[in-house]
Amino acid sequence: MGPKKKERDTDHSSSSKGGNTTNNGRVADSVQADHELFLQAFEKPTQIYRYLRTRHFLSPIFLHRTLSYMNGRCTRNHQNRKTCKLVNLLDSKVQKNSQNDVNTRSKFMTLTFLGFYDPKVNGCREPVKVETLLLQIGHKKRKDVSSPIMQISVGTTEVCINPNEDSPPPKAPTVSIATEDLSLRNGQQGNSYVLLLRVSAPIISESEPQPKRRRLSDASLTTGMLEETTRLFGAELVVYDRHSRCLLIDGDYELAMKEITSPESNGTSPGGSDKSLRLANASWSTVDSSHTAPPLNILIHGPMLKFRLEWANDPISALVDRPKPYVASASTQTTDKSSSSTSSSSSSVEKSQINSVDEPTVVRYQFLYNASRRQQTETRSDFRCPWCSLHCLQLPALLKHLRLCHSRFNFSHVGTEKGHVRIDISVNDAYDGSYSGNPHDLIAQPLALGASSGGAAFGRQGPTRRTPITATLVWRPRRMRASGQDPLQAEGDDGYEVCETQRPFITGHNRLYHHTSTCLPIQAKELDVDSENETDPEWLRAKTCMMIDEFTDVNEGEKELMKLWNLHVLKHNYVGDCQMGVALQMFLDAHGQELLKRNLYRNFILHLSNLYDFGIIAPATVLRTISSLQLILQRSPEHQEILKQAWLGQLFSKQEVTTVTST
Amino acid sequence: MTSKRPTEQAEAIDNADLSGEDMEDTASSIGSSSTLDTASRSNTPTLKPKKRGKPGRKKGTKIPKINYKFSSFIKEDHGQPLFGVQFNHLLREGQPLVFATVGSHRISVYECPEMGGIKLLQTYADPDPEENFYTCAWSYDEESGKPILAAAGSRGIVRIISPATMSSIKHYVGHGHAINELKFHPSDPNLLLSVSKDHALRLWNIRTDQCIAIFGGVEGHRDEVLSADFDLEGRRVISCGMDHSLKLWRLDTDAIEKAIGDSYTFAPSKSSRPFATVQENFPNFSTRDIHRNYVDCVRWLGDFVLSKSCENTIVCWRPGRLANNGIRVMNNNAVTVLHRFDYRECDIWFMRFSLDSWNKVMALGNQVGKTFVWDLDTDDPMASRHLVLTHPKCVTAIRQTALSRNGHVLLCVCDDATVWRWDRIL
Repeated sequence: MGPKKKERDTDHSSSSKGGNTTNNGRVADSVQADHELFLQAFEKPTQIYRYLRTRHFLSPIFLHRTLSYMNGRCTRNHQNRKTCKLVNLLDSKVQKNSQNDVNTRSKFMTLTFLGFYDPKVNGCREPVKVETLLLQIGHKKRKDVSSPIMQISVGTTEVCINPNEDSPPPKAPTVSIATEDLSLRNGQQGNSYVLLLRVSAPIISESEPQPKRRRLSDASLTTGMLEETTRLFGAELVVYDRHSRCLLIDGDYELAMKEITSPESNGTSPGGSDKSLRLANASWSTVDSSHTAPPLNILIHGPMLKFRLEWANDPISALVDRPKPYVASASTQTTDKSSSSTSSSSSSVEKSQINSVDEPTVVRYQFLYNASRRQQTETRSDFRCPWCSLHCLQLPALLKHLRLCHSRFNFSHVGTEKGHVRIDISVNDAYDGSYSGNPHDLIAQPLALGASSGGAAFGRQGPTRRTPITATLVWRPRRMRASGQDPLQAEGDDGYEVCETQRPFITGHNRLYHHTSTCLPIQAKELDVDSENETDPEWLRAKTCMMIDEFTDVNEGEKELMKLWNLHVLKHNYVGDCQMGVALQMFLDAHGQELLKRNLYRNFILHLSNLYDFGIIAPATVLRTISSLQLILQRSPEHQEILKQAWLGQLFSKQEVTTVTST
Repeated sequence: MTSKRPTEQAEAIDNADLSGEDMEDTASSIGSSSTLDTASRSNTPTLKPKKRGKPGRKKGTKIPKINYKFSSFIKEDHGQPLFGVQFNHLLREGQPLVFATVGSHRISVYECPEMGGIKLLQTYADPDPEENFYTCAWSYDEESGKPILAAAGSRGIVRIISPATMSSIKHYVGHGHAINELKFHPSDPNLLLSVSKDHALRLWNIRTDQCIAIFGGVEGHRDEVLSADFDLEGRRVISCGMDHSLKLWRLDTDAIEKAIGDSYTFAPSKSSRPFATVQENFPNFSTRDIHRNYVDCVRWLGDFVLSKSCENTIVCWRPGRLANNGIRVMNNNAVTVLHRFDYRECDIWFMRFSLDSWNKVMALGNQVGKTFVWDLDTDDPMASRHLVLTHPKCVTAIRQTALSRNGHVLLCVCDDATVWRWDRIL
């Protein structure tokens, strides 16, 4: 959430220039352009922080309350940690269980009925009967099983209808419910308790013809409690919800009642075997959003039961003195939370508790651009961060938060004067947003449909090798005491506190290498294998052969020998004349057979003599090489045959030539 | 890299003055066929050294049967040139016409409704605002059948986007420089060919994320590769680039076929060695005889090749002699030029033409916003003349055109970030 910026017309530079009327338009243009630039400069970081804020809401990577400078946000204290011992766990748990919450102090929940209000009833009538029932609902994990429900009748009382507010009846009926009835099974979750209040009122105004509603209902017949001329009202109130949280606290309650018409027509009733159980279910599940008016409407127009709820240690019998109404401040908090929709009460309780506001100090943010042009936000009267609307509670915490979490900006705390805190903001040009972690995380493929090779950390193909890298996750340097109003003074340039042993947060193998031939990144598992230092790649060999083939002034035999020899030299990478003897010997070892097979004997001898002529090899080397070639020749008769045939053929053709020339 | 794709007339052999004479229908929004005179006049001698049989052929030229009418245009808000537009040809009849445009650091997916107009479906932006996408290509995921869109540009990173999940599912780093064109194999949707400024082409398996082969090296391109195309069966690739050359690479050699097979079975988690990428240094065929300038677009047309340079002509040619059956061999780098499709005012580079998937219509835009359309579906394609589509507001260079599967919709993307839709008059 970016702060709303409004331009400040009282800006010094622009107003002074604006006074000059001759170049007013030009100045206005430049101001406009300047303003655009200003907005652009702040736009990107603001957008980034807006995105980060949303992400932090959805999936936080850390909690602000764990930060040392956000102490105020941590509502728990760690005092118990020191005294906590394993052997005491059970005892403390039992003890805690016995005094679970509100009703620990008290053994009974007492309802004091103040009256039944029905705007449709005029004048005083005879009192209505209020039946109080307690419903225990056991929750099952599985949804398809209907929840077991137990009903306990607590008592029936007579409550006067529409009592006069000014002179209420002196006595009020009460009902007490023992907390044993509300016992939560070993504190185990799964049981919730619902308080049911049923009012059977004698029928009233004739002006309202409701034949259907007046008709006998099946329920009233079976219970036999109601006469023909009664209307049945009901409402429910959750005492403990399914997480065993007590939702009712002391207070005056105004409970909107709903008329119950035909219990058996309700399809939602689970088929319980017990008849009264069925009745209970059927009657009370009529709180249905489809025919419920908005809660407030019900409170105004519908019938209403007023009662006071108290947790007490002693049961109270039948009639008590009518309690005095609460004083206004207390009663507004408690009364307005009772409504026909019972679940809303819990949230309002929490809200009323968090109401403590710090002393209102106005924080004013000034946006600096080019050191002269500035813009001011709407000031804020609390220490909320304007980018992530985080409530920092205190000024030092706010400054620290801004500095550390929004480091794309520079913040400077200019000063506090009469309740105003001014913070100057400029774009941090030195911000280094580069990724300093493991570079393999960057090149890793995002998870994809049917992708086989995910990144190292996210791979689903089992473990993969990763580069060793160390990232500092938790670091607790020795801190200096936060010195009151100016916490930024004690920090180094990077926003962290100065401490003696500063080390980089990420150390280790944080470089990415690439294969020389394919330019593909080298995965961690490939680091050990080095196969790319060969001196004769395939393409070079192919190219060498192709180039030799393109010669036109050498014969085929010479080309073949040159290919063999050049590739041999290429492969072994001989570097000097002195290695030629060895080179020749190795050449014969590797290619001697092939040489003879392809009838390149004479070409090789020519090659040798060339080497000798150019002074590269000694005569002894020539002799040794030829003799070793002869050795190969002697061992294989087939090569001798090839050589002989070639010699004979050459001799024959030569004789032919000589005869031709002679004739 | 920002100086790329300028209006600079890259070492173009400039033709004297084409501008004054021949604009027959600048103001009309309905395309009309050009007259005979303009075709001949636009051919300056310097441009076309060998004009053979031109006068004879002109007699037979007919007015093309097809025509297009302007439907609508939109402008993308970034205002930067759009370099690529591609229809998803994998969508069949009855399915919506979906296309993608790329330009700046944006990738946008649109639909062409039947009734006309252009409807934006999705837009993606690269995190790096410096990225400038040049090209995109469509494929589909073999398992789910969902479409896949690949895009690449000046950073040399191939981005694979799944429009179904609206996320970038993969990326491929490896090219040493900008990527100028992407193409998917016609029959295997997992094989992606990328064409790069680093003088090489790469074949990727996007299912297993392996680089199958690199085409380039000693005998490869000597400058930026600008365009490439698979033939109909996916057995050959023809590539072209700034070195004026066109090179043909076979994919049905033993080494490449084995590498393609291996790329599917290669298990990176089990192997400590990287995948053995084939380094193909030697094209099967190479020529520099077709063009005298940057060759910036090439397409197969059966066994023939259509290629263009910034010389105001698209050349239809084939490797080898016309009599030869198989296309072959290195030492014999003879070519046979069959036809030249001439047009005007298109002498800047990085201008791409397109064909519909039946190879019946060809379209190319020029640098002043006109679109030339050729009907190839005639008895004698040589005699086919072009029609010129103009719109008064379309005045900047049309970088690429795209024709829908059946050729009924023609799209043009311009330097001013506009997308133009033309509908065929049936």
